[in-house]
Amino acid sequence: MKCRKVRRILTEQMQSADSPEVLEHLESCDDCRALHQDLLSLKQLSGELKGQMDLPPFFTERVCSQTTPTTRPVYWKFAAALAGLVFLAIGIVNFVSVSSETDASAAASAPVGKERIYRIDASDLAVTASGIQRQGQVFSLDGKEWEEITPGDHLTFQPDVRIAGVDHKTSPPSYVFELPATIEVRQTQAENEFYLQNVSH
Amino acid sequence: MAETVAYAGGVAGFRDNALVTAYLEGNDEAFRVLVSRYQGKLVNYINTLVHDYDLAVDLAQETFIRVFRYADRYKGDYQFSTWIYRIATNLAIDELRRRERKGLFSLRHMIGLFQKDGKPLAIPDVRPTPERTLDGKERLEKLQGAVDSLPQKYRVPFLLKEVEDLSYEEICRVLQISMGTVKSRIHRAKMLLREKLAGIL
Repeated sequence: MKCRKVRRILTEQMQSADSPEVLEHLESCDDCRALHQDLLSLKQLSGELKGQMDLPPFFTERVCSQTTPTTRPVYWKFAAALAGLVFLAIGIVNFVSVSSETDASAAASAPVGKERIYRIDASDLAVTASGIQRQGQVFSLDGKEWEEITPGDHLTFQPDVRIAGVDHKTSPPSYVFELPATIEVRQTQAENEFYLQNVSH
Repeated sequence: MAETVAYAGGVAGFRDNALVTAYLEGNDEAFRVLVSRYQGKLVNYINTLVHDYDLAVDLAQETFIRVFRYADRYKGDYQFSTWIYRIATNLAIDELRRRERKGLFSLRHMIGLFQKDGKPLAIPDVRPTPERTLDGKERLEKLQGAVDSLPQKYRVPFLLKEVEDLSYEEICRVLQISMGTVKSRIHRAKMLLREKLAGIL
């Protein structure tokens, strides 16, 4: 068997690479034997490029929030309209907008039906897999009504919540919102499901 | 409001094609499973092409959005992985071309793209001296540098074969080139890498 053919067989990883003819050739040809060794090393080394990269937090949620418009937007608009009507009817504005200068725990929550809605100023807000963070603190909203967002929760970003980027300096890495943004966080009846909407406009 | 189709026992164990079918029948969870299944691989693969983590994340997200948008056009007569890699590859190559036009390159990319005539470009001699043996991390970096320096037409099929473990048939479909061309390009890529990594393999 000629060197040219053996080289093709080796680089294409054909099954015939283990054939007696090829093995016999490798025994007698230093150049092809060296190529065989180099290709094995290259294959092994290339396999190490497979290393999985860390994904930004909520990657799945971010993708799915943009690709499953079948039910959520309808539900969302309905819920928003309902919430507005309830607010107008009973004349209660039951939220506190938290500015970037004020204490992080000063926001209020307002149960609407079976939803809970929180509205927070996001001037320096970031969402991480361990919860909503503000100036490095978990945003607790009085520490009683709010159930902390934890890894594994379904977090749905509405399209008007624009992500400015990922801050890798935090651990875990966090999303940073584009400003202006007042983020309304709704926790629905379903546990571990949160919807984030930008209500700054 | 669209109906959501639920499957007893969930869809997590479904094969890719069955997930697409379930999704088209209204099961949103099926799409979530597909995203979870491919997100890590895609970000890693795209990152090996563009070397920009944030861009790789954005392009992976765009890949899923296109899968979502054109899911009804997917023909189940070839593997889903082929289709998704094809979308991701096209997006990455388009982005590299766009950056090429705008001059937005890292030096590593310029080396690769300036070799469109197929002529090997000399890269620094990375062979270790007899006194010094490269450790695993350094070897991997050298390999990455050498792969980056390959012309795109060799680099992409090489990565699909050796890193992503796609078959020759799948690579033909992803890149829409003939089997002979795929084999020839991978052969050429390996021979160039062997030359560039002499003394390291």
